[in-house]
Amino acid sequence: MTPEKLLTALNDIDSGAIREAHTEKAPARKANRRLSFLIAAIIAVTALTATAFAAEEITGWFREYFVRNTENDLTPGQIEFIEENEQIIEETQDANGFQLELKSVLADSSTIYITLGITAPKALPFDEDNRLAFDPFDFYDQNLKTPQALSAWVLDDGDTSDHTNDLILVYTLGSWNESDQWTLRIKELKLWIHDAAYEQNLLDTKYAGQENIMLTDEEAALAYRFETLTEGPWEFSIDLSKVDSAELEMVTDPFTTQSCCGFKADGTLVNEEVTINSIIIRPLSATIQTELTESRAAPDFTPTMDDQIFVVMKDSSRIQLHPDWAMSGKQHFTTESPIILDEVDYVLLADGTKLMAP
Amino acid sequence: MEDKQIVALYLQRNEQALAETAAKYGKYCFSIANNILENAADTEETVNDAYLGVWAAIPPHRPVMLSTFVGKITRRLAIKRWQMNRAQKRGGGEMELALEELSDCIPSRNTVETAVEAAELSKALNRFVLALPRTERNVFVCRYWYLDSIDAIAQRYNFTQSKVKSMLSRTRKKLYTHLQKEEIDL
Repeated sequence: MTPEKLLTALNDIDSGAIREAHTEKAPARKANRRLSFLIAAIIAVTALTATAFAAEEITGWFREYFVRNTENDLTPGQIEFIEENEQIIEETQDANGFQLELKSVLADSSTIYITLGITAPKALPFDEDNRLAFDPFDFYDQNLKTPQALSAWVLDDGDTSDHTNDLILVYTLGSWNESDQWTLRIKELKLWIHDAAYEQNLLDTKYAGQENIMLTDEEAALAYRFETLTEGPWEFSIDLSKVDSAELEMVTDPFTTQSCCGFKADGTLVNEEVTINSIIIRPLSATIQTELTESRAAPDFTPTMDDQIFVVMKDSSRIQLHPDWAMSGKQHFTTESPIILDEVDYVLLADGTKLMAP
Repeated sequence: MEDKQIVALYLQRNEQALAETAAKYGKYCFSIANNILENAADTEETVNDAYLGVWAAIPPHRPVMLSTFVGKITRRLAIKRWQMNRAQKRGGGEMELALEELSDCIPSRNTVETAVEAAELSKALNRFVLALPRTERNVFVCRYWYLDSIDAIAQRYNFTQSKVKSMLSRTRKKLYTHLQKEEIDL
């Protein structure tokens, strides 16, 4: 055994541990915080596709988001949940002529939705090829620990002005996030730009008729790039001490189920038997804990990652669970729309297994 | 762009996946490789090779955590390059390189045994890392996975350098005991 062999063998340790070491930090001098953590992990904001629904009937930010997310109307219970749990904040801050408004927050104990409004001194250029980009490290708790994942979406703000936009940021927490007090500090507004015309021109000329096209580094840098829209910072404090921490454990005894555990070279799914120890449902999120066995202690083993899992309500409506991240056999999901725990009938797993609510 | 969207581009064999990966994880990969190679040119080449490695690996792989998936490939290639560089610097470096190249062509029982041993060692290390207390685990992974310097770890955790060193020393002793218990050939 050589130190070199040991160092090489460490390569395949658990991905969650690698990610945790990269993102977690003990309380540190705030001024130094960013020095070690300016690793680019930028999330570009994606526009929600419009769906057929009566916009005039929907007034709240989150109602609009979930209705578009599910393409279904919300139930009275879901609307009541949002109204009771949405923290309306409506705090504004200005920097360089750009105003950011922290409109509201909706959270359970492991998922946080934040709505932001932007008012700009000029037309905002957001579209499919010009998207606002956020750094996930802009959001941190009082121990300076950042969330596990971030996604971001543009909402229709209901007006015709191209100087304003509403955004929704969705953060999912890791097991290390134990604080109630959070800070959202956006240091700059950054655009992720896809120069589609430039790329198409390349495809039509230099690469015309070719297969397996690979842009050169220089070409890729021109076709896809970040540009600063304006510098900030904008800083908001968020108190999550009154968040609904209710949850529902669906598993009384560990059980086995068939689950997607990987892919063959031809892309077909590989289903295997896995043991599930716990399924916890929360209003906005869920966690599934699978048993790690000797053969499944491999890094990146994420059973259920491509399964379609639904929470079926007593009125027979179904709410899908969307996977966010996995770590040491634990997989985190966000729910397609709010789940009223009292109304849960059962959880439907990919192989047809039904777990009735206790 | 979200990881699953980038992975979808790889699955569609869309070269945009490479640009998205570079935009999102380029600095992360550069940091991993540069900590090992300490040479910008070698690091850049290694990171580019890593992107191609990811291209070759997805599919069949379909990682949920793209960051660590790319990171692991980068680290593996960087260590391999470091080994090659070291062999070249030694007297008669070509001999070592040639032996290394030829070793790939010998389907001996030893190769199988070595692979099995390596897999066992990898599993034992994984069990060890996951059993460590969180802070100790993170300091250990920072030092021996990311190869961060003691100074960088101390700054990051607001520890003194001596605290980091003593924590790592304790962890190494635990690792030695763990590997003995697991009957890994030391």
